[in-house]
Amino acid sequence: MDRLHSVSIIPDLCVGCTNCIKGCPTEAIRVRDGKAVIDDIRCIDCSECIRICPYHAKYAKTDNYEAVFQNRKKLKVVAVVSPVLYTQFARPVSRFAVLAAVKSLGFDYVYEESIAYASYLDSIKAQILEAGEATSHLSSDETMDILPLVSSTCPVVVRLIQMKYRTIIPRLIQLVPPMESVASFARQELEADGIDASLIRVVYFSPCPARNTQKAFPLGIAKSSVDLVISVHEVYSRIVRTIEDINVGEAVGHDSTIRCSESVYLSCAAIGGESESVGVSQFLTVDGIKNVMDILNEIESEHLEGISFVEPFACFGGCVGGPMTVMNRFTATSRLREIAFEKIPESAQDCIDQDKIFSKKWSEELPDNKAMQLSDDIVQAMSKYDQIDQLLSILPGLDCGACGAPSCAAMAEDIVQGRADFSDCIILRKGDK
Amino acid sequence: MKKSLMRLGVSPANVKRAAIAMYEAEINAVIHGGGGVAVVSVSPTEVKIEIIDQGPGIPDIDQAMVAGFSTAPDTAREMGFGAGMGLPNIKKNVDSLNIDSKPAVGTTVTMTVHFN
Ligand SMILES: Nc1ncnc2c1ncn2[C@@H]1O[C@H](COP(=O)(O)OP(=O)(O)OP(=O)(O)O)[C@@H](O)[C@H]1O
Ligand code: SF4
Ligand code: SF4
Ligand SMILES: [Mg+2]
Repeated sequence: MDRLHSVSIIPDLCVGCTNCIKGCPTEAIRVRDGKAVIDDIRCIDCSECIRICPYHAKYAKTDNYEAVFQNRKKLKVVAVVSPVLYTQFARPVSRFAVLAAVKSLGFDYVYEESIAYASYLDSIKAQILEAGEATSHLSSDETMDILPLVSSTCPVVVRLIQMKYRTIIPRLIQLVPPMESVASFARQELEADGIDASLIRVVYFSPCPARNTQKAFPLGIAKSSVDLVISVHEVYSRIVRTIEDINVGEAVGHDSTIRCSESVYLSCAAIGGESESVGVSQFLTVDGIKNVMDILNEIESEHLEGISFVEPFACFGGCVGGPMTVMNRFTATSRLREIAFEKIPESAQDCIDQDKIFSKKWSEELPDNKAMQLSDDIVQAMSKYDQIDQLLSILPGLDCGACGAPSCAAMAEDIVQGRADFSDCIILRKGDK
Repeated sequence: MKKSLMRLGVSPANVKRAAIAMYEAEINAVIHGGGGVAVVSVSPTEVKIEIIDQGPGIPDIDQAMVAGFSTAPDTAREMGFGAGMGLPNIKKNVDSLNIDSKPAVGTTVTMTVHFN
């Protein structure tokens, strides 16, 4: 099966300490022969293990910056910029200075990701209103069959739902993510200008590895319009030294290769921005993958009464808390608030361009992720289930992690699935002697 | 139970039906039946859930099945229960429902969800 994640391990740095295995929300990590290994199908790129590992043996894999301008020749290289990038710089570096600095790296066009948000938020609102309409004559129990709807902006959350909360799939607001809308919009515009499709390279500046995975294994669409994903961190380090010398007026003024949104849409890079901009009153925001799981459990059991919209983000604080950033999320959030109210300088007014881009619904269904399933055949699955039960009564139940599995239950499953051996349990081994 | 059914590969829609029914019956056993036990058995084609309590029993089962009928005490109503929707909601979600109840002996609610 294909590798479905971008979070990776540097084996040389891993000491096999087992710190990470219990922190993984999908139990995707095992320690085998003294090194952590990530299960290709279970990992949802939440990056918890990157945050936990004391030895920095986990990292977020992206494309190399060198690839951006490689074999450039006649290529037009387009940057699609996550608003998180602006929040990495201290005041008074404005977002327009950042955009100008990005251009000066050699990009032919720079599109803000936020230009997709006007239409994206409108579509979210329309779906919530539509669902509200449909439930207006229903009892509160029946309403909870339909509401709340759940934002699909964070791909980690979508993949978590795809694997562990499949009953929630119908509640997902199934819209093409802004990064993809902007990338395909940029392609259309350039092609309309007579540029050959094969000569366009779209590069996304991302706060997280999950968006890198979205490029290779897109959710909800057949093929990604993004060619390369570079981290916000990487771009930051390449422009931080030159940025203060940039004269924004000169650099951005009437530049037809820069496409910007109204400032207010930048706020969606932090938790709550989406809900507040959509303007529904009964919303709930939740950040941090474990908290997100708690709320998904509530939704699945239909205990979340009176809420029409849930905005879940895997990272604390929302995308400003993404793992591929340099600024701490508190400062970044504070900066974001400021930037989202920034008045757009006269010289940059011409760059505002968000009215021609329209949010689309997913064209593809979410494929099943069967990682949680013991077998495709229910009879076999039941027999494995029984075997796991039996093993659980033999294993010590200490959840010590020394075998390399996060719990005795996970270990029992590994043994039954042929991925581990009884003798890996050091407690039982001691008892044998 | 939900997690177990998922691991067996039961479809999300069926897991959801079983989970909702089980939840409602459990709540009833706690609120009206003074607590109870749950027995879940799975075969390749269906899941059977029994919720057994030794409470006061249901005097008139047909009446209890009517949407909106409730004898829930005020204390339960304060916690948001007592809309009289639990049993109707169970009926809506399961493929078969049997309520066996004797006054002063207790109530056994047996529900099955077919996987088909
Ligand atoms: N296990 C039980 N033991 C005794 N009486 C019961 C039991 N289950 C249900 N009943 C009776 O049937 C009535 C209807 O049950 P039902 O679950 O439909 O509504 P409810 O529990 O009162 O309210 P809701 O489920 O909407 O919170 C109850 O009020 C109670 O009188
Ligand atoms: S990124 Fe998240 S899901 Fe993937 S291995 Fe690390 S902790 Fe587990
Ligand atoms: S919250 Fe944002 S940055 Fe974090 S994983 Fe989700 S999309 Fe990526
Ligand atoms: Mg009830």
